[in-house]
Amino acid sequence: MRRTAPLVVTFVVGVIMVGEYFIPHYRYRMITAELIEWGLVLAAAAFVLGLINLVQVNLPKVIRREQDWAYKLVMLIALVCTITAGALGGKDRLGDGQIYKWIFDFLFTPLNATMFSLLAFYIASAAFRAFRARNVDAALLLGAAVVVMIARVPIGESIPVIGDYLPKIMNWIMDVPNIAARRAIFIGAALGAVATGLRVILGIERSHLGSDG
Amino acid sequence: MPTTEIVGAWISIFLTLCIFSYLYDDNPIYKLVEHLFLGVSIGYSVVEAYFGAFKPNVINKLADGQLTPLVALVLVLMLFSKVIPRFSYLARIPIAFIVAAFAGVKLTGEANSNLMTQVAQSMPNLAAVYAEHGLWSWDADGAGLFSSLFLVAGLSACLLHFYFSAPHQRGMKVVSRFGVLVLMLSFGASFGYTVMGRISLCIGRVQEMLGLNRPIDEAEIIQPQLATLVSLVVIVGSLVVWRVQQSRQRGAEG
Repeated sequence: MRRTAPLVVTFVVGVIMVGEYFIPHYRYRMITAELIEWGLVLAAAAFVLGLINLVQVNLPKVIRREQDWAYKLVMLIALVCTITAGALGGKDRLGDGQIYKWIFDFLFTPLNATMFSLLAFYIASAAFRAFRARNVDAALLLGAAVVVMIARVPIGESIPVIGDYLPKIMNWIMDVPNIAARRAIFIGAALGAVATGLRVILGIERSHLGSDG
Repeated sequence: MPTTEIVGAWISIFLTLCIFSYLYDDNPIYKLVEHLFLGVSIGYSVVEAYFGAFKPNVINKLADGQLTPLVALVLVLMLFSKVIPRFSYLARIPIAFIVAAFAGVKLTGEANSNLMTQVAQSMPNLAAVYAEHGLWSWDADGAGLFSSLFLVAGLSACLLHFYFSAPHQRGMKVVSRFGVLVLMLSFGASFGYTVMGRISLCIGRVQEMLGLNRPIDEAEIIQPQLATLVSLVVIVGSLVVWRVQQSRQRGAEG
């Protein structure tokens, strides 16, 4: 029962969802829309489950004052403050003067942008060390990257002779070879998604049910 | 301008420089702000998940007298049984539900949007392209018959490169090699594009620290350049103290 019930649920729900493509009737759509809503609710609940797990793991370490306990304490305080501010704000939480909006504007947004911008230094440093035009493949990789980077800054256009053509070459690379390769990857990924979806629905793929599933 | 916004702008500048201090070394200031960011972002995700999915689909509907959300509520309770090891097997049913629902959506959705549509869009009307742009048009960023044929040939070559049911010999080897070259061009372009995206984010942060992204009257009240200078002094001072403490500890241990 512990193994069969989840497999039956997987099959029934999967077949109903796939059926929507073949039965484009509004009553059937209402059923699938309801199932998707339940799925969204479960996904939201999974965030709370993750939160419980985070507190279960970190709180004992703070209480026992294990290594790096102060950082974990800061994380838990920030977590509690953000959730409390959001709960107090309710549906107006992103309105002017709300604490939650203040947290979003002056903590979340700048920290998020800075974390991603930090990667610029590491990507550039890694590229400097790794990009060597040793063969044709590497030379094409390097050339395409350089053209795209130079063409997107004002200094690129001021280079004599090729300056006028750089943005056009960049657009060609982005629109033709890049699209060709990306489409090939998308088509491959779509075939993989269809195959994996079928395996899940038919119960061949069971890894999501745990090791003894 | 409210005081909270001025304080907020100063704090965001200080936190930005704290994150950038990682470029020097993995230090306690960076770790502290990293954990602050973790806490805030997890809290933000939970709050938005509640107000975006749970409240409208369960609480509001139950308040309207609908009973179908009760099933979702039961599934949520079964999911939470994962916290109690004795009943954790119950969580398999909601996990199976969510995986099956999205596998079903993906199965038809991916086949429709990423497979059929991508294939259909990849075969251009060559006569129309030739009539509009000729073989090659610099004015239209290289659009023309050559580019259209290159797109089809490149896409086919990339797909054949990943086709392993036939050995890559003779003609197949040449096609596969062309596919690799197209992939290299694409990866290089994507890399350059990503780097420029990150750099523009970095420029945005520097503009905020210098007050260049605000109107002059706002910048005069907030004084972002002063905030940057004060933050720099505090962070550099803290890093010096941390380094001295570290070297003393090493000396005592050695």
